[in-house]
Amino acid sequence: MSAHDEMLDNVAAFALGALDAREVSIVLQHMQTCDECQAEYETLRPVVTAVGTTATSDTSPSPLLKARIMKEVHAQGAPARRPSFMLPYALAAACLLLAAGFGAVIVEQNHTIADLAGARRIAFAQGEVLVAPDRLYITVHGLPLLPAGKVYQTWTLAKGATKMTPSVTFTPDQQGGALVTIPINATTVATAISVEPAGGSLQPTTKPVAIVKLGS
Amino acid sequence: MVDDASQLMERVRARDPQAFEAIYDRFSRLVYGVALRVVGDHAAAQDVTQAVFLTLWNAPRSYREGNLTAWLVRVARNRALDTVRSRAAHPQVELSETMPEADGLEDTVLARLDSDAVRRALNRLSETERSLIELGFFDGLTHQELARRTGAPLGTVKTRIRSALRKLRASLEGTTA
Repeated sequence: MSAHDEMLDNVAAFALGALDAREVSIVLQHMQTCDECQAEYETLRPVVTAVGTTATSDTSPSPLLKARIMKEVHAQGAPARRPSFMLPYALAAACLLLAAGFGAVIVEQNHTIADLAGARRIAFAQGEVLVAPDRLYITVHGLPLLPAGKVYQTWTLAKGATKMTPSVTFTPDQQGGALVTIPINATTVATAISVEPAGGSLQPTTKPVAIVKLGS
Repeated sequence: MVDDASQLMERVRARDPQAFEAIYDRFSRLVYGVALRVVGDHAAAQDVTQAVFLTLWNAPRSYREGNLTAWLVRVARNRALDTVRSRAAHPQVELSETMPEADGLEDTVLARLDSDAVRRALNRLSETERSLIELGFFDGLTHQELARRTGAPLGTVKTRIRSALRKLRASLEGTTA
């Protein structure tokens, strides 16, 4: 088998999602200059998607799930449709964040501003955490920009746990600012941010740039 | 149907809850089914389903182009594997959610075929080929893990994956012709 045939096999494994991160990088780089491999990928990719459709459930998920999702959707809907009584809370929250220098971020993100207005605030060196019952809104500023292939990753720590649980990754804007929303539950006692390879890690591979105890 | 989904997504980007609900009604069984197949329990599958659809609502531009069904399948699979990974510290291999599709088969297959037709095509593969494809997609195994699982050499596993996917493609094209 020629080296290029092996690459075509790698392309197929890539389409299936069966390569590790290093191999993915090699295949992607190769496909940028190889029309044959790009065409092979485009041939096989939809087949993989079709395989996924075989898992279609015979029954719909619980109506309660839909109700939960739609409640969230309506809560986060277009600002113009929000009840007017929320406006003072929205303004208060926006003022809070503007005062902290995060105004641009809050405009870009479409979160439930009423949640932020009632949230407990914990400041740390690079920003602030607003604690809602089921999520954290982490605002950061001035974080160093990272080289290609690196991202910031958030973590949560559950009460009594000895290892951090991986959460979302993010890339700050050019000023090093970002607003990140991460899910938590009643057992979450701390959050942290570290620099990780793109795609994230299972456990922190670098010393966290921030650790925030949520307290009570 | 595909064009209709695109129009609905335009309305979702404009923050139209009714359009979002229409998309949920149409695709929730697919997303939930993929999640359930990967995570194996209903509660976790519902959590994944919720995360996928709220991603669509909160960040509709993360779906940029191509076939919405394909995007939902990939995101559901990746998020479900996130859940499995958090349980077992299992390395995750993600499907690309952003690379554009230049091929019409994705639309053709997903618009005109039902999942039974794809199942029949899968069943025409050998047991070994079918296992490789299903373990790779739904269990998120890398080709190294597939080689360990099946006892086949690495190179053989990748060749079989390609061969199986090409057979599936030919089979599905035959169905849609």
